[in-house]
Amino acid sequence: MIRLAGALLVFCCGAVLAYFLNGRARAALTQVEGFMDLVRRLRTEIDCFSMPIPLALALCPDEVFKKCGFDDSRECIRTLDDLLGGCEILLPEAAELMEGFAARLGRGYKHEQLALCDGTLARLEDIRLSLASELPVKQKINGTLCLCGALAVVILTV
Amino acid sequence: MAVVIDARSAIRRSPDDKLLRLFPVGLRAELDGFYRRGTCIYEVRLRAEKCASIVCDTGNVALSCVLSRAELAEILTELCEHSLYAHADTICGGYITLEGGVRVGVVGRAAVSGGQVCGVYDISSLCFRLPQRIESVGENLAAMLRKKRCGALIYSPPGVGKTTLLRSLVARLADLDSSAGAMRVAVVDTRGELGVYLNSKALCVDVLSGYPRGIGIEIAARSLNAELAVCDELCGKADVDAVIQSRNSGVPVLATAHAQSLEALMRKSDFRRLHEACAFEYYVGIRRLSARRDFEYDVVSWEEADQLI
Repeated sequence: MIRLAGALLVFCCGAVLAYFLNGRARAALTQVEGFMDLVRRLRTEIDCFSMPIPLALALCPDEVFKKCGFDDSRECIRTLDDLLGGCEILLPEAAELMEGFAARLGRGYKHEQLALCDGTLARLEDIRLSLASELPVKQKINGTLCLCGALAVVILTV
Repeated sequence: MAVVIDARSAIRRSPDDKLLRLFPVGLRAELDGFYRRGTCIYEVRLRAEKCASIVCDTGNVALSCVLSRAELAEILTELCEHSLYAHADTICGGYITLEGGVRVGVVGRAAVSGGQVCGVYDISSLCFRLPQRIESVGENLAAMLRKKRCGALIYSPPGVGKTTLLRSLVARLADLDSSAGAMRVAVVDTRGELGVYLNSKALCVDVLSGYPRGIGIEIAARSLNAELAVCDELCGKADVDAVIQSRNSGVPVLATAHAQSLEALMRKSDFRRLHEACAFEYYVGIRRLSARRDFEYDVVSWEEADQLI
C-alpha cells in the first residue's frame, strides 16, 4: 500500500513538474506579448504626443504591466528600468533586448526613438513567433519527459 | 529719467533645491559651500572636460569639479525626465526650461538639416540660469506704465536683469491689493521663465505658457481682453508683426530685447520697424553698476528715441 502511495506521489510530482514547465513556457510567451504591448504604447505616445516617459508609463493600463510580469506598486515606476527591475524576465533573449531598449529609451530625438521602438518591436515579434511555434512541441516534450521520468523512477524503485 | 535701484533684497535659492540633486556629489558639495557662505549664485556653468564655474556677485568663479561628456549627457537626460525627444524643440533652440523658471542653456554638436538645427548631440556645455526674485525693482516704472497705460521695451545685454525686472513689473501692475488699482496683464511665457514667482492669489494675471510669442500676443489681445501684454526677448518678424497688431488693437505691449544701447537696438531692422510703427511709448535701458545686485535704468520716450537716432 505504501509502495503504491509512493509510486503515485512520484508520478504526481512528474505531472506537477510538467504543468509547471508548460506554465513557464506559456508565461514567457505572454511576457513577450506584454513587452510588445508596452513598446507599442510607448511608441504611440512618443509619436502622437511627444509624451515624456514617466507620463507615458503612468498612462499604461495595469494589464500591460501584469502581462510584463510586474506585480509591485506602480507608484515607483518613472523609467523603463524601474519597470524591468520589478519583473522576472523569463527569456534571456528578451531580457537582453529589453535592457538595451531601456538603456536607449528617452535618450534620443523623436525619429531615433521611433526607429528604436520599431526595431525592438520587430525583434520581439521574431521572438514571439518562434516561441509560439515552439510552444505546442515544447509542451508535449515537457509532458512526455516529466511523466516518463516519473514512471521510470517508479519502475526502478518499486 | 534715470533711477538707481538697490536690489539687495534678492532671495537666494535654497541649497535643498531640486536642481542641486541633479548634480554630481562633488559639485553639489562645492555649491553648498558657496550657499553657506551667503553667496548669491546667478548661474552654474558646466562644461565637458573643463572646470565648472558659477556666476555670482564677484563675477565668474571656477569650481574644482570637472565633468565628463557622459556625465553632462546623464544630467541632460535627468533634466529631460528621461525623455529628450519631449524637449527637442527647445533643445534645438539652445535651452530647456525647468520647473521654477530655471533656464538651462544647452549646446553641443548641432545636426543641421535645411538650415535648421534638428538635433544637438555630444553635449559640451550646460548653463543653468537661476531666476532671481528681486522685489524692490521697478516701482517707478510700474507707476508710469499704470498711469499712462502705455507699452515699453526693456533692453540690455544678456544677463543684466531684463527678465527679473519684467517679472517684478508684472507682479506690481497686476497686484489686486495695490491702492493704485490692478491691470489685466497677459503674460506670454514662451520659455517658462516669466510665470515663476507669479503665484500670489491676488494677481490679475493670465499666463500663456509655452505659446510662441506671436500667437500668444494675438490671443492676449483677441481673447483675454488684456490691458497689457507682456513677453520676453522679442525677435523675428512674427513677434514684431504681433506686437504691431496688438498695439494697433489698443493693447500695449511690455517686452524685452537684447541690445547694448538704444542706438544698437535701432540698428536692428525688426526693432526699427517697431519704432516706426510707434509700438512702444518708452524704451528702458538697464545697466548693472559695479556690484552685480545694483543696477540702474534709463527711460527714454518714443520722441526722445526718435531724435537720438
